Amino acid sequence: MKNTLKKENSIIDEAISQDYKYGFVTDIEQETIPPGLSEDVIRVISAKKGEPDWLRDWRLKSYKNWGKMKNPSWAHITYPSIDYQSISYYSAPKEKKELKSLDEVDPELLETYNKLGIPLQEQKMLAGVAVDAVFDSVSVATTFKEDLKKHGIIFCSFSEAVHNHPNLVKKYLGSVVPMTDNFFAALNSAVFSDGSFVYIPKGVRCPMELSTYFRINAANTGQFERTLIVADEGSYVSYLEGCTAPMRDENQLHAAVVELIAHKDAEIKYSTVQNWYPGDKDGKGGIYNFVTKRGTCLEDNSKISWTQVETGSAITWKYPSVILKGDNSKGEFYSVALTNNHQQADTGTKMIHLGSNTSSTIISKGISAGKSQNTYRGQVKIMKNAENARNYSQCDSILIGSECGAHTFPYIDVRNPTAKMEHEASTSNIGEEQLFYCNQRGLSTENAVSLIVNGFCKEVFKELPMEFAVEAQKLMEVSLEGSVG
Amino acid sequence: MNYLQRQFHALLDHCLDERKEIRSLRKTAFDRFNQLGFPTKKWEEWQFTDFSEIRKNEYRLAWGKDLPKIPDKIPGLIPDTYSIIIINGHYQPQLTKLPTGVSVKSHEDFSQIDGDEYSLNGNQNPFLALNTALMNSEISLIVEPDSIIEKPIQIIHLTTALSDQFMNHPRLVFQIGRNSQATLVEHYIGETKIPYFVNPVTQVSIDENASLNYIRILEEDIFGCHTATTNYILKNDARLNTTSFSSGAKLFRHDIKLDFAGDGGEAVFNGLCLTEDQQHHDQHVIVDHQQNFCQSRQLFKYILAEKSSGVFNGKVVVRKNTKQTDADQSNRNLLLSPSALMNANPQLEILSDDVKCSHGSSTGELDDDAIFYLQTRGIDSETAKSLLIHGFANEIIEKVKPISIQDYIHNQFTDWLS
Repeated sequence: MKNTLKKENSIIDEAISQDYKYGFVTDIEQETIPPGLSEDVIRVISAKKGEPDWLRDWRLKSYKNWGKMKNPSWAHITYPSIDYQSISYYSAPKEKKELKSLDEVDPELLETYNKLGIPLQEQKMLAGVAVDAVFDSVSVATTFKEDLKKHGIIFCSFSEAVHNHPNLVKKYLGSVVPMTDNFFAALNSAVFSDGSFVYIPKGVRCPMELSTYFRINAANTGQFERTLIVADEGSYVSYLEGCTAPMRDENQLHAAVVELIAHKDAEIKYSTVQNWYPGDKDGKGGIYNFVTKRGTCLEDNSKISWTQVETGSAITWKYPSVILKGDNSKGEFYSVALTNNHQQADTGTKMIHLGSNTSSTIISKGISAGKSQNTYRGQVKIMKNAENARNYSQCDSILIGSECGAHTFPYIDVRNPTAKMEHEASTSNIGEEQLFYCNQRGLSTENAVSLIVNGFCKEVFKELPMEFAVEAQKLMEVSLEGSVG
Repeated sequence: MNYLQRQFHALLDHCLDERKEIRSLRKTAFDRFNQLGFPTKKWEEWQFTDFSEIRKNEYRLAWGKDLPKIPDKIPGLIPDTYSIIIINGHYQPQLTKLPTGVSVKSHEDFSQIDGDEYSLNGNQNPFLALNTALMNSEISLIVEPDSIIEKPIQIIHLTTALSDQFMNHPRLVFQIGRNSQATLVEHYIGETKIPYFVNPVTQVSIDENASLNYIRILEEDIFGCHTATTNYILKNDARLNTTSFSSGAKLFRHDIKLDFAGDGGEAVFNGLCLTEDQQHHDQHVIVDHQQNFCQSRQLFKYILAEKSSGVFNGKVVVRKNTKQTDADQSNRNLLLSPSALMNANPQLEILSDDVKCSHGSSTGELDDDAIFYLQTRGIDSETAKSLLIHGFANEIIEKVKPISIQDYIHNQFTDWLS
């Protein structure tokens, strides 16, 4: 009796799910599904990507959780409330219109490229101009891929990973940022479009900096990106995200999730340069960037290091964190956040000390100019069992102009007396004397400001991989333009 | 109907002859309190403190009959001071000694009821609203302009010989006139084994070019809960130097707010919190730089023993278009036991570029190397530890003036340590 009932049930279930499938066949043919978010939309996204059932169910569960959550309001940012039903949650990768030569590109954009010192060939690629044979990014990428394969490193898009390495994805997905973590992480878990997946096998030191830049199908990963990096025992990887070149995107809301997992003796270094469109001088437009980034030092002697340079986006809401679970593990956070005009940034980090002898370092540099608001918000939590934990935090801010704001909100929570925890912060403007001294030596005020700001950020820039560091300095100059005088 | 509502109605019935303005202020304030409710863990500014003790215990308001036989020797009385004595919420004019240039008004003499001292001004602090609704003892202390008061004035709030659980909502208003100088000591002492609740609100205004040295000593009994609100307003070139020393109370919460209402003000906050057993001390400080050329300094230290916990939340706000602000905030915490817990949250909110602001916070245990060093010099480890704790606390204590008060605090600290 029981068996027949079960059978019947399964038949019914099958019928229902099939019904859905057929019901949406016509929709699937479309490039973009209509705006709105519902369970059906998630089924469509999942079906379009040909995902296994477990992932579809995971998305649906996230969606249910998201429905119960509220948009967080504690951050020091203001923006009109977002209508989540007016967003289209899936658009198939479209072929970009190829331009024939650089002459067709927006001259303003080219000027910025020149200031950043981006090589001509790269400029063409970034602007979407057909690239000739001399610099074939595809072939470069292919050579890289082969090299990685030799070492057993998996570096592919998230969708590929779901198909080719489902066990790895299933094991680690949501293990650091659970779907219930926060409003935006839940939304991402329900509707994430694509992203990167990296797995470094035991004892392998990744021979090159991994960058989305060289991943063939990196284009159009969309607004809900998901990155998962796993470093197995004794491995090392350095991952670069973003690009100094200004990115234009029609999607206003970005809600990405990044998860890092470091096993025993492993080290992950994650560097970001974010320069999304910040909106115009009057604060119109611009990207809302709500990102959840977190890493776990799962086992002993592991290390995770975040380095970020944030100059873009109208709103940045981002707290790359490290959970220091393994004994002797290390967490680092180096950040430069620059805001100008009407930009708002609320960024910082969380260091959760669980294991013994864990240590963390936080260096945060905020620069606010124009009418912008720049906030450092960080938490250091030293739990009961974290013997001899060590934390050093330093948050400095520079204010340029009288209409901007710089705020510091550190939360310090110590539950173990053997902890040594230090926090320092300072806020000031650029000294008249400093400017005068530079002027006296023949530097214009604008150059002097950029010199001083770059000196201020040096501690963070030196953590960046070399090619990024050089560009980041130039990026500072470009982003500060018009803020002096 | 909870106990607060019952007490509120009893109070209204009791003071039928109160002025209409006061009655309506009480009603508005009580409505505000009911609307806000007791703070919960979800309130950002209150999340680390549990107020269920106050919510659940049924305290009643103190009445005239609660006045016990006045002790021959008032505890905590510091020699060589003027004094104002309040016992179980009742002002004792016969024990008051005051110099010329200082006057005191009390009880139903709510002289400035329309002034800022009593307005709720959209304040979201439920304990301020509760105090305004239930205020049952009032002291206004006014220092006349151009008077220099040499000796400190000590205001003792003594809670003693209780018959049942009661609460007090003292309201204190201090006004320091132009060009005057004074030292005030606000001192809370409890000697009872019955739970009680004290919820004072202190409003301090310092006029142009006046200077106030203000010391707050909290030695409530371990059965007492103490929630305090202190607001300071500093006019042009006013100077404030405060020291808070707190070792008592099971639960202590203090909301301090300072407004620079004129140019060139200076404020110094020094604080020392000593906790043991299951005590919980929570201090929130907001320094609001609204005007130009103001300077503020904060140094708050906590020494936490046994299962006690501490919270420090300090915020410096610098408003738009202010010039030459100089603000510094420092918080140092010493954990003496594995079960002690500290939450620190120093904040800067800066909206002007002509500033020099900094803050620092550190938490840790005694330095092993320092203990070892002392041991190599032939000092046993217990003495070495106490020497180091002493050194840590002395940074605050030795700044207290005059010396009579410094000695008192020093003695209390030594008692606590041993």
